[in-house]
Amino acid sequence: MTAIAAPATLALDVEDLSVEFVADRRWVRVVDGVSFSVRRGETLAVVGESGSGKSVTNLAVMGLINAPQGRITSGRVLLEGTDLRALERRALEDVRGNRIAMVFQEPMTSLNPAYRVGDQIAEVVRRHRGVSRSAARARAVEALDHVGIPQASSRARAYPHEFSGGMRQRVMIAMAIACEPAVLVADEPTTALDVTIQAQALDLLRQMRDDLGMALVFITHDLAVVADIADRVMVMYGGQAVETAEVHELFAHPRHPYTEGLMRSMPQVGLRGRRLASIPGQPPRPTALPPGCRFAPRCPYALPKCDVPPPLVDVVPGHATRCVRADELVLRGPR
Amino acid sequence: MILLLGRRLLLMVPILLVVSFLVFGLVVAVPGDPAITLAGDNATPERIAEIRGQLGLDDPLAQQYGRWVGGVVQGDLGASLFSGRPVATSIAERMPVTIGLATLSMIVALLISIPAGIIAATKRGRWPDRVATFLASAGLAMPSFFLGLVLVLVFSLQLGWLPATGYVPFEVDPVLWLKHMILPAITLGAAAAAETTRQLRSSLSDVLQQDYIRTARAKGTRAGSVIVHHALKNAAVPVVTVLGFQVAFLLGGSVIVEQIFALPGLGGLAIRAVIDRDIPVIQGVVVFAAVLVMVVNLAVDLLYGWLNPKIRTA
Ligand SMILES: Nc1ncnc2c1ncn2[C@@H]1O[C@H](COP(=O)(O)OP(=O)(O)OP(=O)(O)O)[C@@H](O)[C@H]1O
Ligand SMILES: [Mg+2]
Repeated sequence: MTAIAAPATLALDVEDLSVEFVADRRWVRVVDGVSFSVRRGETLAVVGESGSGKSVTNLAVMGLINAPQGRITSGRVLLEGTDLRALERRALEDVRGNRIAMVFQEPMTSLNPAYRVGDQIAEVVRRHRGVSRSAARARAVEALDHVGIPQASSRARAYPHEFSGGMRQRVMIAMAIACEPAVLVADEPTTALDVTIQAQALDLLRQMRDDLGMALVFITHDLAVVADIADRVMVMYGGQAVETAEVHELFAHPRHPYTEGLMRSMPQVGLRGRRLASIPGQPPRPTALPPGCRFAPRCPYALPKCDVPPPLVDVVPGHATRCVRADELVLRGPR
Repeated sequence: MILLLGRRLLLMVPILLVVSFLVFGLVVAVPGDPAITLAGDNATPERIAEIRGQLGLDDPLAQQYGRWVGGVVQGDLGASLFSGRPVATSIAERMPVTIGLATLSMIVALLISIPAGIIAATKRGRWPDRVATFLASAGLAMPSFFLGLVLVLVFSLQLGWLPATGYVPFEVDPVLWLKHMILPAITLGAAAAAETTRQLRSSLSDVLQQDYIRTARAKGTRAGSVIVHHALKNAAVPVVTVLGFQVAFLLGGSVIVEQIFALPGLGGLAIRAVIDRDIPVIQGVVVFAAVLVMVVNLAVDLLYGWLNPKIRTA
């Protein structure tokens, strides 16, 4: 089956995105030919261990890879049908914060310490809506209220250091949704928060997605969160997508040994104290990638034929994996 | 903010006390007896003793100190041993020249260093940065008398654009005032410009790496506004912190620059007084400079509080 999605229904459509950084005085590929798409109202989770390229992929989507240390070497980023990579800098600035917004991994340092949070939110509204100062302020208070900050109108006049980490993340979310973007990228928005706050932030994002009909790209390395929020999942390893599938399909029938490894190292409710079977070894550094399958050195099922780089292929429609043994292996989901 | 101001004002009291001890200590520390100097050649011991009595030099030190501080607090800095003119009057006459020079130098320094620092930080490692960094090092290494002479040579003697020496009060003719002041101000401000450029370059390149700059860019903020609005205010914090020192250096440097350009400022008064051992004048100038530096530092602290909300609301 060849599903032809009408392009207009895709909020974000990324194709063959590659990013390089300077390391040891040469260009090193950190994201390698990544493709994905999200519809409005849908959540795509991007999962993978630290260093797998989740953040860099999405910073590249936002056009936030800085010369001279970084560059995008290939790819197309269609936002509501517009190719962001083809836009002039000023046109791209008109889109950022307006049609696509991002919540960053670091809530403590992502707000400007010198300005009141309300003004920082009002700035994005004024920038893209061209409304009056007071209307922008009012919109900022509304956004703060929407993300559940109590006494929003007085808190809008506070500075970032007067907020806890969880509250700062809410402020970041308020800033991101202030212009009601079509796409929201949330980069591990809960990782820096403590557990009870994590659940609240997750609920909040889900609610924002539904209220505003946004497409949500949710980056995490926590599969439990994925099961909770995602419709579809892209698993990344060593800068590549290694498996993409609809969420229930992925948990029921993982088709990549790395995905299985991640699932088997998930903490289980009711099995406290049992040691987790974490994947042995370390993810590869971008400067020293294995020549064939990037996961092969850590893979319990690796064979000599894994020394050739495997392509990402559909095993069943809508479920792709980058493993040459996908058809022979029977992999298990979470225990 | 009020609290911050009050705290700073309170802190000034002990500093002023120490300054007053040091300044008064001059009387004791400077060799020679002003009474002998004042009495002139061939003075009889009786005449000298009489003058000592008039000046109160035979009273206990504590009493002399009390009298002096009492006067200073009321704005009475004593009188010159030679001309007999009140020191406060001499200072008031010459103060506008020196303060004008220092202010103009500061403006020159900021006009040069803010754009230079921004260019250096945003083009880090590329040729605009190299040029700015080289000029900053050159500006720091160049002695002010040398720079002053070069400027006079080029702009006064060669091109004839600006007068080499002299002074016209601002209230007489602002344009002429500026013409006379511009070369001295560049001479005096060059080192401050160089130092500020260096600091701004390093603190701005630091700030540009911060996560909140990425947030600003992600919001779609215009590239220029990211620097001016989001980066500069944060980058200014460490720069402003040392601005107070810069002003102290400017005041010190003005002594030399006023001599080069024959400006009738406090520098000339101080030099004359040192040569003459005119202690009340020396004391007066030092006290005045100390208070001036403290006031500037107070202003810097307030500016710092404005730039850095953590301090204000703590
Ligand atoms: N500015 C940069 N310069 C050089 N290398 C970089 C830069 N940013 C990221 N990298 C490298 O790119 C790779 C992918 O990093 P990325 O931040 O995307 O990982 P991640 O999947 O988001 O990990 P985490 O879960 O820790 O956030 C890493 O090897 C990292 O060292
Ligand atoms: Mg990351």
